[in-house]
Amino acid sequence: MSNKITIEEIYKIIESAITEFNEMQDDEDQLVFEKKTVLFHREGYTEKGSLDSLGLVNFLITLDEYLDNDHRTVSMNFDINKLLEEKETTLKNIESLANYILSLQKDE
Amino acid sequence: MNKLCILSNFNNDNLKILVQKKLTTYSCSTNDYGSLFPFLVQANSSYELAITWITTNDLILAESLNFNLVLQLEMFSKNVKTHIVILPTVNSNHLNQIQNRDLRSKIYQFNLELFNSKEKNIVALDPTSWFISAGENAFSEKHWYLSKSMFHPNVLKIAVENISWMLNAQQGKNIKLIIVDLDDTLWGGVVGDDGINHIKLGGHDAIGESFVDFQKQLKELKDRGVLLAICSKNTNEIAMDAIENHPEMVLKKSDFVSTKINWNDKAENCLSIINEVNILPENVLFLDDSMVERERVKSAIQTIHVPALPEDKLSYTKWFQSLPYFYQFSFTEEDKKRTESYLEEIERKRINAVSDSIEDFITSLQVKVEIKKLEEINKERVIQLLNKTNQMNYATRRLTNTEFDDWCSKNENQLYTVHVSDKLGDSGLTGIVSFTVNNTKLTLVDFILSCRVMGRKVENEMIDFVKSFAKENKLEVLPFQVFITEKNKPIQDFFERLK
Repeated sequence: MSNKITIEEIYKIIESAITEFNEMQDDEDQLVFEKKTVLFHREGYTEKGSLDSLGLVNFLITLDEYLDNDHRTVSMNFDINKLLEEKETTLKNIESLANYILSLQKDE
Repeated sequence: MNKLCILSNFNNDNLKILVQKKLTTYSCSTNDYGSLFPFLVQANSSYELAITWITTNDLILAESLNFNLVLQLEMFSKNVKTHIVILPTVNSNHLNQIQNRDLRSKIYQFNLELFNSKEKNIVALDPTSWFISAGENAFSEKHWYLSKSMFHPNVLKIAVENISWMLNAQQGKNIKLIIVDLDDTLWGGVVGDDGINHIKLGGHDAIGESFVDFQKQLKELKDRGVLLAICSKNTNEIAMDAIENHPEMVLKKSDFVSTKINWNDKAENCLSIINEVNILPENVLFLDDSMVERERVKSAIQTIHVPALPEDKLSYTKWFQSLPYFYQFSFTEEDKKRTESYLEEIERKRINAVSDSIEDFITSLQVKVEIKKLEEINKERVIQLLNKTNQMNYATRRLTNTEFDDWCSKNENQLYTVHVSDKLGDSGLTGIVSFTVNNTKLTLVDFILSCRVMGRKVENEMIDFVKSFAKENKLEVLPFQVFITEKNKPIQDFFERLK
């Protein structure tokens, strides 16, 4: 059995993390699991993001825990501190985040 | 909406979200990060509820600033109806894990002062079991360094669940009856198959020992006034033989107010127990190792609490200790004798069933009712009755100790306690009558009777007492006006019959 993880499997992990994360969110601030969901809300931007700063941190920590619990992703260098500086690129939406996680695997 | 504030020196936004989702009748505010001490000093609003989370860091900071934290918490409590203070624990802060004897001593001293506070509206909660339940990530470095939220969301979820149950307990909505299964719940194995000598209970056996400890937990709750009952699919004689004769059984037959050991549907048996004991399903906990039986009971009795027991039987006790259902604000003589009182009540029902009329029944019981002025020694029990009684409660007034003292201190207010006994036993202080006298008019304020003594015409004697008091003092009794709630139909019916 391959230790490589597919993009579809990464989406599944993200979906599970979102489900748990949403328990910590107000009903009106629920994060929707869709590839194009914009993650971070930036003042003045036309595209409305879903999360404020605290929400984004909470979501990334939850996702990090899910990645830690999967033997195929546990050793990835999922660096939340670095990611928080990439709000407009890696963290733009769920699709870009999933691709980033996939790229961590390729780098190993 | 009632005002609630959440206070801490760490970022409590995550806690706020969870509190808002659970305690929907409150409007919630928080202090800014790191501003707990100035907030306590400067607060000038009053709150229905405040939740203050103190960590070991706060004790260190308070000492360095020469800030009397206990005193400031007490001062702040004067403007709060209920002030929940979550206590620092020796393991409550990942920044202070070093073995520091001095710090430990400070934590114990602070907690003791809070527990013994003269401000009776302070409710001190020890979060140790929350951290244990949340596991190794309870103190989340990632949350702390990235967002200044000190605890993992799992700790916060457990905290909110506990706070919610604590508030329930304040209103008498805590667990009053635990219905337990037998096989693999009170002992290991199936007594019908394995036999009394081969069930796992005590002895030199890990699982056996864990079941003894679990039974001890239940026994302790029973001694604090929580009722126990059995609902088990078994042959009655075989199971009762184990209960009465197994040398390591902690719980005895007399510890249970009801036993339904048969092959009937468990949901029906549970309902039968609930009706027999006369307790609302929302105050009942059902413990059964079988998921199928749990689902059956939960689907039939929707408001009953049915937690999933852990697969690992060695962890029953630890799991049970982590349940949030058993907060208790007071402990009285009546609590100690609760099981015995219910067993007496069952005997009364039996006598009633064979009596020709209700009058014959009451006469045969030789009911004695004593009504006397409130005495200091009975205050705790009276406040408990005020806050816990639902069905025979005229005003459903819920009062804190301070509010109660304030009310009693006014000359125009009078409060009498009702003590009931009969030939089967002493039910103790089971009722309250209170009223306000203004000039020549008497207004009934409280008319409360425990459901344990309902149906013995005690309520009629209480009304007679009010009327006699009015007559002796030349007062006019103003028309009775029951405050209607979803749960006080019995008292509505009683006052309706008086008209």
